[in-house]
Amino acid sequence: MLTLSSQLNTYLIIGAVLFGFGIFGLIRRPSLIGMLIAVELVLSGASINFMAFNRFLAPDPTVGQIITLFIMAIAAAEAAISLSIVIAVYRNYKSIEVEDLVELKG
Amino acid sequence: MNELIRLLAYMLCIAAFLGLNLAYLGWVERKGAGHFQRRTGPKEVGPYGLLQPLADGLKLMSKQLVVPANADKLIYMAAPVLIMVPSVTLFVAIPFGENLVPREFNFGLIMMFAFASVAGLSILIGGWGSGNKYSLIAGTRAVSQNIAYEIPMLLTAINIVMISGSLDLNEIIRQQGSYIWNWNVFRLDKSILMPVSFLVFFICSVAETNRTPFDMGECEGELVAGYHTEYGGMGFGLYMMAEYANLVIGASLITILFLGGWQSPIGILPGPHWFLLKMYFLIWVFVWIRWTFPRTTFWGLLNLSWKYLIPFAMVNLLLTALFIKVI
Amino acid sequence: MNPSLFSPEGLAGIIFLILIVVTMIGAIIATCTQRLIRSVTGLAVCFVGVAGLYYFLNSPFVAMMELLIYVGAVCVTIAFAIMLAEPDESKLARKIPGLSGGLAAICGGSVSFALAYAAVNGQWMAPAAQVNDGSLKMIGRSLLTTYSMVFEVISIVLLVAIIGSMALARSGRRKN
Repeated sequence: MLTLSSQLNTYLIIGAVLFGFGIFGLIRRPSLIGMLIAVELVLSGASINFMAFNRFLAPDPTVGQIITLFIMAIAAAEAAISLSIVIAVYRNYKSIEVEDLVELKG
Repeated sequence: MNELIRLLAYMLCIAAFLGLNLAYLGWVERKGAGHFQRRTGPKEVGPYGLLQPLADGLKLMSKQLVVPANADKLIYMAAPVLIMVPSVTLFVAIPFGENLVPREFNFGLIMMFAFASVAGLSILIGGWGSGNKYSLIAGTRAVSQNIAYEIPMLLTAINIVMISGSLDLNEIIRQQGSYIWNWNVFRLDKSILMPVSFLVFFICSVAETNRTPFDMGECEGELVAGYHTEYGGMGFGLYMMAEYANLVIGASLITILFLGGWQSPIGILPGPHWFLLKMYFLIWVFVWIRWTFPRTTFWGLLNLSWKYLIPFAMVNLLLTALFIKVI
Repeated sequence: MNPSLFSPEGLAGIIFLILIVVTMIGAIIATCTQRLIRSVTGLAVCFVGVAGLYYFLNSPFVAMMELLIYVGAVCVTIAFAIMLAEPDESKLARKIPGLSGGLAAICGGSVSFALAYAAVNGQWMAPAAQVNDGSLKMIGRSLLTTYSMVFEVISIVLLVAIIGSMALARSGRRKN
């Protein structure tokens, strides 16, 4: 039990569980920002997967870290843009529930 | 087992150092405030008011912790703790002497900035959790100020990293030599604008620790008490202690990066006494500035960072790179 | 094989288990609470746990960047958006019936089980010899030589994101 940190399977299972939590949150949350939070969890799960393979099975251990930094930067950019969209949507519809955003025109 | 004992000893020493500092920096501040305003500070409790922090601590601990009705109880309770945790954790990486560092990380500089930005989120959560719109506004202001001033701080710190070639704090100190003209602030052969970098970093530190003239987050007089309005008793005590812990960390960081850390200015006897001397001198300058300058306006504060300090820091970075590679 | 509890490996193992628990608690808080600000706090706690996991995976630099970027910037931005786009708490509380919770749990659970099964039972190739030691210096070197395209692409992505958010924010301002 105490040597879990040196086995590959631990990290793969953690990554899968975080991914599952993200999908659970995505389906369950009725508001745009809640969905964004769940998407960040999904991205974290994927990053842990990359880093786990980077540590245990990669010939060049810088590649996984570079990809994870890339994912981080993309997640930050995505969060910034989606939050601008959320604020713009809130200005027009006065609500961020996805069930209220049903008009395609206007 | 050896390692465990060593770590426990360091933990106790850091807890003692922190406890003493956080209590008595409040005394330094109030005495300094008093003398700058031509009055004496606290002088009743004990000689020269030295037992004042103990009296304050007793008072705060004996107050009832009231949770306002509108507040989110979980977050209200958690926020002061969440603010203390990153500030206290950083003491594990600060090199007080050449061998007097609890654990030498080879990414120590980034660790400082990473944990400082974690503290920023805690301020926002604390402001929201109070259920008070003034606390919310104050928390938002404090966090936008924090984010805005993090950037020139990071850019200026990259100057130092480029000169020293390492992110390890102890290594940065070792690279600065032993005499006062070898410290990073006076090293004009590495970059002609090094003293100006020091000034930029200093200003950003004042802003990062939310002190006047940049204390939009807790303007006394404008927003009641800012993001810790609704906190009484030990919650308020924790906020004050977190502010002083941030102050100690900011002063240590400036000492390490620019003023040579534990190196001595006269060439003999390097050691932690020089580190503490420089750190306390900087803290005194922080207190001096607080009670001398009036507060900036909010847009003045953000303009200073985004429109002046960031472009300047970028140009500074280019200049340093030019100096290192070409000259 | 099993280290003693007080040796450094044993303590590291205990800290690893604590980090896993912290990550899971953060994820649970992030997805299961009604109020969005608690959800953001849970997300921040989860990211702190993940940063610790990265530290265990021999990448302290990525761990610090995770704290700096995710907790310090992304969570703060989400919290700002929550404050600016006030979610209606009573509406949120009304809208989560049991079926949606159950269905979501089945979907999430099945996806995660499938991924974990595929991962644990997969025959991963043994690594070739390690080319470099994955330290920060090597990351910097490869980011500027072999993988410089990643660097340039991410700069362009961030530039587009900044311009996009400014464009979105400005149009709202002009209306007022």
